[in-house]
Amino acid sequence: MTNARQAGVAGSQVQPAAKRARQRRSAWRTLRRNPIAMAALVGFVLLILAVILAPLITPIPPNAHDYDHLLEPPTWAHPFGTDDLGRDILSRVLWGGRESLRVAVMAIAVAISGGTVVGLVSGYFGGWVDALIMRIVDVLLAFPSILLLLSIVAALGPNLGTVLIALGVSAIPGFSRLVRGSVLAAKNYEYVTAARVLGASDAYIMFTQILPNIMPPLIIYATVGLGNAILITAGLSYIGLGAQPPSPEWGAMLNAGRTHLRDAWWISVFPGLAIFLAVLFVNLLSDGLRDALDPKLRQ
Amino acid sequence: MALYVVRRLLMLVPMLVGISLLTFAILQVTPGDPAVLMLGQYATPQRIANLREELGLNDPLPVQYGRYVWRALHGDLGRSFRSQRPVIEEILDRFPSTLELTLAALLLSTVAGVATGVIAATVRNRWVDGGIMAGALVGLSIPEFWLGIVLLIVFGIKLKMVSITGGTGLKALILPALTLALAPAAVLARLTRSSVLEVIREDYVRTAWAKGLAGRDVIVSHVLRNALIPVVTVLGLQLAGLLGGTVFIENVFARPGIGRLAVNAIAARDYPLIQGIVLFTAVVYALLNLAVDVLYGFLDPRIRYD
Repeated sequence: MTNARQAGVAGSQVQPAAKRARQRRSAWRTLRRNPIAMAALVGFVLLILAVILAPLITPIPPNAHDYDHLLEPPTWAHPFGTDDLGRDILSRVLWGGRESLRVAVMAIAVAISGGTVVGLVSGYFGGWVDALIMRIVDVLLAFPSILLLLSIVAALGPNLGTVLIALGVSAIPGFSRLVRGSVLAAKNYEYVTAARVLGASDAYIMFTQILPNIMPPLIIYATVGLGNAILITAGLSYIGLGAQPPSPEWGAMLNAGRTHLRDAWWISVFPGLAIFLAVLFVNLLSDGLRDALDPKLRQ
Repeated sequence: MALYVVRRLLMLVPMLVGISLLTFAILQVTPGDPAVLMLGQYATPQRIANLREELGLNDPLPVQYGRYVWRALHGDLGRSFRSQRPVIEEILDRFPSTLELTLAALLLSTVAGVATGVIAATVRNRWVDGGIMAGALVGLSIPEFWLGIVLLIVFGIKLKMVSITGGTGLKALILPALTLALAPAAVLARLTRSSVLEVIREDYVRTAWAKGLAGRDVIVSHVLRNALIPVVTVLGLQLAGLLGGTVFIENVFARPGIGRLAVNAIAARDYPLIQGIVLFTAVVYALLNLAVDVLYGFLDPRIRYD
C-alpha cells in the first residue's frame, strides 16, 4: 500500500513536472527571440562579472588615497576621474557595485523566502489562518512602504545591514499577497487533489507540488522588485541612512559627491550611471521574462 | 453612496491601529533607554530615573500604548528630543512644502503620463510609440535622486537658471517637481497605453468610428472615458510613490519638507519626531486615499456595489 501510495504521488508529479519542463523550454525560446531582453541579460551578466572581478580588473584599491591626483577629471589613468581624496572613481564604482547589488539581491531573497512561506500557508490552509494573515498584509500594504522602511532603519540604526533587513521585510507583504493568489488557483488542480488523496503531507504538497507551479509570476515579480531594491538601497545610502563612508556603495558615493557638484561632476555622475544601467537591465529583462512566462500576454 | 463611504471609513480603523502599533514599536525595539538618549550618556542616574517616571516609561507596555494613542488622538505627538518643540508643530511647519511638491508632481505626472500613453496607443507600433515606451522604461529605471543631481549640475551650476541652495516659490518648485514626476509619469504612460489599446477594440468604439465621428471625438469621448478608469485606480498608489520620493528629492534640492525632517530626525535619533512623522504621513496618506476611493465610487457606480 505504502509503495503504491509513493508510486501514486510520484506519478501525480510526472504530469506537471513534464509540462513544466516544456513550459520552461518554450519560455526560454521566446526570451531568446527577444533581442532587447537578451541584450539586457548579457548586459546584466557582464555588470555582475565586472563587479565580482573588480579586484582583478582594477589595479587601484577603492580606498587608496592619491594626494597627487585630487579631483582629477576623467583621464586614461583614471577613466572616471578621482575624488577629493584622490581615490579612483572607476575602482570605487566597481567595488561599490558589490555592496549595492549584494544588498538588493539578498533583500529580494529575504522577501521571496518570507513572502513564499507566508503566502503558501495563507493560501493553502485558508479559513481563519488566511483571514488573519491577509488582514495584517492588508494593513502593511495600505501605507507607503517608505514609512515601514524608515521606521525599521530608525529603530535599528542607519547602516547597510539594516537596509537589507528593512528592504526585505517591507517587501514580504507584496510577495505574500502574490503567492497566496497563485496558491488559491493552484490548490484546486487535479495533481494537488491526487497528492492529497494519496496521503502526502501538507508541507510536501505545498513545497513540491504547488510551489514549482507558481514560479512564473514569482520570478516576474522578483525581477521588478530587484530593480526597485537597487534604487532604494542606493537612495537610502545617498541620504545617509545606508552605507556609511568610506564605503564605495553607489548611493554613498553620490552622497560624498554632493559637496563637489560645482567642481567635480564626475564624482556624482558615474555612480549614478551605474545604478541607472543596473536597474535598466533588470527592468528590460523583467519585461522580457513577463512576455516569455505569461502565455496570455504572448498571444 | 453614504453606505459605501461609511464602509470605507470603517476600513480605516484597522489600518490606523496598525500604524499606531508600528510607530509605538519603533521606540520599543530601539536598543538603549529613551531617557538616556534624551539626556545624554553623562546624565546622573537620578535624573534618568526622574525622566523615566515623567515619561511614564516604567508603566506596563499596554498602558504606555494606550496613553500614546490617547495623546495622538488629541494632537499631542510629544516633544522633539532635539529642539524641545512639540512634534506636531515641527511637522506642520514643514508639511506645506511637502504637500506643494507632491501635488505639483502628481499633476505633472498625470498630465504627461496620460497624454504620452494615449499618443503611444493611437500610433501603435510606429517609431513614436517605440520612443515613448523606451522613454518610459528609462524613466522607471533612472534613480530620481541622481536625476535631481544631474539637473542641478546642468540648470543650477552650468546654466545658472535656478538656485542650488533650495528656496521657495514657483521657480524653486520646477526642478524638484519634474524630477519627482518622471517615474510616476512613466508608470502612467505604460498603463494608459495598454488600457487604451484594450478599449479601442471594443464594439462601441468600432460603432463610433463606423458612424463617422472624427478621430479626436472617438478618442476623447468614447475611448478615454473608459480607458482612464484603471488610471484613476492607481492614483492612490501613485501618491504612495510620490510621498516616498519626497524623502529623496527634498534632500537633493534642500527643500524644507517632511522628508528632509525625517532623515535629519533619524540621523539625530530624535525618536518622538520620527514616530510623529511616520504617524502623520500615514494618516495623511490614508485620508488622501479615502478621498480618491470616494471619488472613484462616485465616478464608477459599479465600485459602490462591489
